[in-house]
Amino acid sequence: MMDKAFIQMKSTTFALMAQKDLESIGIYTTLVKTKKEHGGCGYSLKVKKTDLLRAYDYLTEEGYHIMATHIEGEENGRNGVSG
Amino acid sequence: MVYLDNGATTFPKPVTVSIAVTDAVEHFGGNPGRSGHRLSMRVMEEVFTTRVLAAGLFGVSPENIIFTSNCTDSLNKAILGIVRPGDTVLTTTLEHNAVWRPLKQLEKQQGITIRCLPIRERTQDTLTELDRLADGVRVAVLTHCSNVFGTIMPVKEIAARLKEKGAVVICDTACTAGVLDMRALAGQVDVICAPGHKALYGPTGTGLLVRCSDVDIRPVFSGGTGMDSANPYSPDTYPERLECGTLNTVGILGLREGIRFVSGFKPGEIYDREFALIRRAYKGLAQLPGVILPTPVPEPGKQAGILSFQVKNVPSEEVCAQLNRAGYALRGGLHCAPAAHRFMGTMQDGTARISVGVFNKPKHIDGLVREVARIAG
Repeated sequence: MMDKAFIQMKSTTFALMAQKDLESIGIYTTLVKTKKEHGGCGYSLKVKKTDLLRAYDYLTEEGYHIMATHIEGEENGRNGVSG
Repeated sequence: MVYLDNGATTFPKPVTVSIAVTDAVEHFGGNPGRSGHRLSMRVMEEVFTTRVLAAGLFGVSPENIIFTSNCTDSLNKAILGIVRPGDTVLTTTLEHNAVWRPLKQLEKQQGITIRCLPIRERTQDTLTELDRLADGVRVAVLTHCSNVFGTIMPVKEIAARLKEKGAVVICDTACTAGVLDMRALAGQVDVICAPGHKALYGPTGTGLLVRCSDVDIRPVFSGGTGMDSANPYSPDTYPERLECGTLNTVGILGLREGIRFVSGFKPGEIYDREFALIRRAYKGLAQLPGVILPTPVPEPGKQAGILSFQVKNVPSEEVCAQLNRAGYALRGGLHCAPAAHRFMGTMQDGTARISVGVFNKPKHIDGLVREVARIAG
């Protein structure tokens, strides 16, 4: 079932910091190695598709630089939030 | 053996540190920040925990904690990464070779100008000296405390004047990280360099470089960082910008427990305990006719847990050799700080240095004084 999304962070350390910050607002993520089809750079946070927009807005407000977001099953990552 | 050489490295370490190191070797395999398998992710999270704990100690955000292999490594990375060709750099008469040698290398290779601030007994006198040296200084490298004499420097006052003139201030906390208030210091300087293996009670092979402002630090070493591999240049984000190659994960997991250990004391408690021991040592040694104490009576806030002394007509290395035979571990000689000895007039014979730690007790000091009395005759 394609119900996941990925938030690709600028660095490993920022991915870990973002993960902890998202937990504080009840969004739980899994840290995964960024998929090759998503650029393969560093680590991404795997999140429920339904949480993606809230997570993106929260992290942006907190000053995180998000490299890209990807929706599971979609081809080619895009910058910004899709949908 | 009574260990009074904590200025070289602390010993013993808390038992939690040795457990963490063993645990790391046995269970935390994998290279953090490289692979996607469970082992790599697990150790990455443990390393991150250490980074967060260190960030709390210094009052900075975790990305501004950079792991290094020791304070010398941190100082080299800071100095070589910030100083530019032709810069005027200020340092002091009490600095360690970990500061002087990189600066002398830059003087030879990049034509920097080094100005040396004499540290006087009264802060106001030091500041008067500073006023005649500070114009045009772009970078200053200051020790927080002399590793030979234990003198705590007025970094707050010195850094404030330098920063008013736009200088970047790097502070060497080899003797004070884990003892004095690092959060307060982080608000006064741009970079803090600290060893993990001294008063943070981590294993040898660990150190920290702490960014306390948005100062840019160029990478001195470049290599793999586990991210953005296709980019031929080092990443521009911290800490990865300054952490290339495999981290000392075993050491870092041990350091995690060292930081937890020192964080468990009340603010100022470790300093108070160490100061009391040094004052006890001073009082005991001052009564011995054959002993020379190059520094004044220790005052709270002006002296850390370090005290140097000499025995008349006995070179410091011989003093320490005799103390070693009697079961006391001290360091003699120039302590990698010839500039400090030159300034204080102890260059010829060096000094024997007492450097206490949190596991030292009054009876260790009393026993040492008795042995020094025997050597001094």
